[in-house]
Amino acid sequence: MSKRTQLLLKENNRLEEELSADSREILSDIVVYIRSANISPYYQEIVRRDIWQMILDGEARGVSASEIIGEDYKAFCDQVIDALPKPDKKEKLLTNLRDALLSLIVLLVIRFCFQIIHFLLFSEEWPYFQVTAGDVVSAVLILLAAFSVFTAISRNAFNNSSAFNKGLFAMIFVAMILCTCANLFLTAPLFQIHALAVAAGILIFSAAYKLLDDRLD
Amino acid sequence: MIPSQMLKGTLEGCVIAIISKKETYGYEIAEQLKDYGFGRIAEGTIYPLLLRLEKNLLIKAVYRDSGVGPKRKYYSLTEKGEEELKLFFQNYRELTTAVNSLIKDTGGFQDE
Repeated sequence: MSKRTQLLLKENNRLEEELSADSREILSDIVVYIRSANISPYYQEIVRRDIWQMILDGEARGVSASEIIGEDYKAFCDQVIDALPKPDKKEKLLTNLRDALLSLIVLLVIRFCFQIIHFLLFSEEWPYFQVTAGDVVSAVLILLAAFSVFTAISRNAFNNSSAFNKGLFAMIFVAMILCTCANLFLTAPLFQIHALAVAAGILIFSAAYKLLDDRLD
Repeated sequence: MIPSQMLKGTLEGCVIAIISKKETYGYEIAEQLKDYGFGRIAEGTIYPLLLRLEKNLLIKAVYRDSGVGPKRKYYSLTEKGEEELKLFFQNYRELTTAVNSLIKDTGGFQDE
């Protein structure tokens, strides 16, 4: 995230406390909805600040957030998203790469930690990590599930139905079952990798992520 | 009250016209529209429109101290916006001429 976006995010987080509880909830739902939109984090924060300003001004006049924005928050958000500049193909590709790198780093760190604990407990094949087909499949499943859950929550920010919540839990549950099955049954080893190589990979991916994140808005 | 479908085609031009008078902000634009007889238009209707105008470089925005609370976003017209406004007035004059001609030809308003 660029410096200007970081500063704006920090300021917006602080300013949101000045709203009433009801208004804060509405703004929060709006922000969750626009988080998965095809606009940069910078414009997401600009919109957040602008809407916060409108709502705060309205509260000073004794007007509710729904009177300012209208009753249909989703339609309002869609119009706002539609009106904002979209990232070009290059920026979109770099953003997806950045997000993929972050997910990969998190998975690698978790795997690394568990593998270290395994070594300490069983002292097997140190310092090589064995990567099985199940590891790769479950990693892909975790990434897909995480992306799907994030998108589902964001796109349904204004939907408080119990049916949606149940559907979400079902999705997470199914993903967990599939990952567990993948690790239990797909035990064929694909390759081995030295622990230092994994650590180096984590550092390289982290550096690449930082480089990209600083460049992107 | 003017139906929203009828308002859709002209609201953008009307907002540009209001901004052309002086630098202004969202709520003030909504109030001016009300004063001109457009009825109550929520700021939530105007805000996406302002974003679009800004994206198309017809208006520019600056943050200024509001006197009360945080800085407020003020909008002013660009040169391109001024050209767009002239075009809007020209197109609208053509439209009103055509509609007035039709009204005259079909007998006018029922209560006249």
